[in-house]
Amino acid sequence: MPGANAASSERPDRPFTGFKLAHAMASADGASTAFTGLTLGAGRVYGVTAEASCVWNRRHETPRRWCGCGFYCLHELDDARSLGCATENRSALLLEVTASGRYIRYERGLRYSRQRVRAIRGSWCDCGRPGTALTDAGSGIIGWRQLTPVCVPCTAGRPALLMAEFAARLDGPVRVELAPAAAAGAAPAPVAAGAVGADTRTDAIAVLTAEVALLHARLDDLQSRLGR
Amino acid sequence: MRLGKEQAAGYVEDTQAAEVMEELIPDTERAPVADQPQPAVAAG
Repeated sequence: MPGANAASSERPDRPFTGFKLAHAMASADGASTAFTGLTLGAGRVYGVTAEASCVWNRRHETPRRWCGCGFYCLHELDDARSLGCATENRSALLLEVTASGRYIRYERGLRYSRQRVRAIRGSWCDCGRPGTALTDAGSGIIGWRQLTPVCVPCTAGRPALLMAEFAARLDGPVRVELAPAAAAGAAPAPVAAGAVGADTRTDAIAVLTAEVALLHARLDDLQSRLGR
Repeated sequence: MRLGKEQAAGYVEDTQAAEVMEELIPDTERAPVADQPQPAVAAG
């Protein structure tokens, strides 16, 4: 078993399918695109197929027990979606990957050495609609700009790369699976549980307007009482 | 990312990578350029 940990024992016939979050990146000249990790791997850009290396010690093979190195993924799509709800992960893409090579299997996911990105399964605009395009996030690393997902109405004239164009500039084939409403260009998109969509915002504005009107009425009443 | 308790370790090949490449090669690309061997052409 090539470079496996001492405790390695499994040798499955097929690689694993997993789900993870990653930031979208565009090269300085815009000709190519790639991904970066969210935490430990945030400083390294990777393409469709990639081998992990330890950011602390390149001399050991990844993933190593007692070290946090290697690619990470979750077994369940819903777990990855949940991770994407965290404030710091809102601008990440949800990816479906094939995990292979050396690996350590955990309850909820894997740490592994070789990765192939198969599909972009989702992304969300700040407004709550599915992200169908990517714009400059205003951050990056040397040679690469970080991109953030947006829906078409929120691009507001800014330069944007459609998700399919982003995929086409990657160094290998990756499917783009957008939410049906987003793919059809319909707006607003269906609101996922817990997400804030256009319909929900409209309702919220109506409630707030009613509360403000009530507050004004109470103030008027208070002022008239004070006047007496 | 919290993955929970470790359950096992191992090694697996990405056997599906070859299948993806197969899908990308259109049938027209697999066809021979000509049915018969072509005559040699003098060059130079």
